[in-house]
Amino acid sequence: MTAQVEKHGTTLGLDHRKLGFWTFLASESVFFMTLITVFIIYSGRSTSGPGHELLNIPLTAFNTFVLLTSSLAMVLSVDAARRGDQRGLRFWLLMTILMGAFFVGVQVYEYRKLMHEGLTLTSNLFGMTFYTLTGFHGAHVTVGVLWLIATLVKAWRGQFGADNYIPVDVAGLYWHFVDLVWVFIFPIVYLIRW
Amino acid sequence: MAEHTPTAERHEGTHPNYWLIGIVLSVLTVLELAVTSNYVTQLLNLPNIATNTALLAFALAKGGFVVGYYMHLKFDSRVYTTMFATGILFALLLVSTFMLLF
Repeated sequence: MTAQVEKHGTTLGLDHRKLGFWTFLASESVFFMTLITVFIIYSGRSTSGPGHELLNIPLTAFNTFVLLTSSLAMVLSVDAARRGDQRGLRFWLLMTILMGAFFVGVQVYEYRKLMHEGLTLTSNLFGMTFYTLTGFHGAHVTVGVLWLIATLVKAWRGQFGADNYIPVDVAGLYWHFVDLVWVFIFPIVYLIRW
Repeated sequence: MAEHTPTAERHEGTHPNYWLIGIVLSVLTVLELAVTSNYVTQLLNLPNIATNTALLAFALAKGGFVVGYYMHLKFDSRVYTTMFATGILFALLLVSTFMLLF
């Protein structure tokens, strides 16, 4: 850490990449909290069309478990990078990517099924707020998967180690944030009957 | 402006048992599903408000574990916490305004 902060020093004595990223995550919190609030406000206001009853809760619960487990894999890869364990870093990064891709795949399957059953972005207020909120989250997961693939390629080239693990740490922060947002979306959208 | 030496990171090298945190998060998810299951709601005769409050409490607990342990805020510099908390505070202000307007 010391060498890294010296290379990327700031007046606070902190790594500016991490500080900048926490600032970005703060703005992302505002973005997602606004979307969640709009979903809550419009819940139960749809006068016609399909709604909450179409959601496949067991499938999404399993997907939630997968995303939570991917966060565990991510933190283990950051820990491996911090210790200079190249094999552990690559293995846990790959696990995170696979679980993230699985999450997105299940979400695509869910969307196709819901659209087949008549719930679209334009069918009613529930459809609009549901797809906007979960869609933006899914887009974030997709970006995260792409970012982690790029990180894995760099890890394979041996670009990270005990003295240069911050890029993995920052990618991890993004991944955990995406997980954090889902921790709130899952009960608010799928479990609570507003 | 002179740059400081890196002294602000706290507890460098310490980390919790990530596997244990993973198990706790899974258990909390199972509890979320349990309190919304027909069996539990009928058995305990829970009103909607109690179920919803429990769900939000579980979500907050899970969020706390993710931010504190997986994102390492509990061990990192307080500056990161302050930065993130400021964002959350702004978000809450925005949410309150939305709620008042609608």
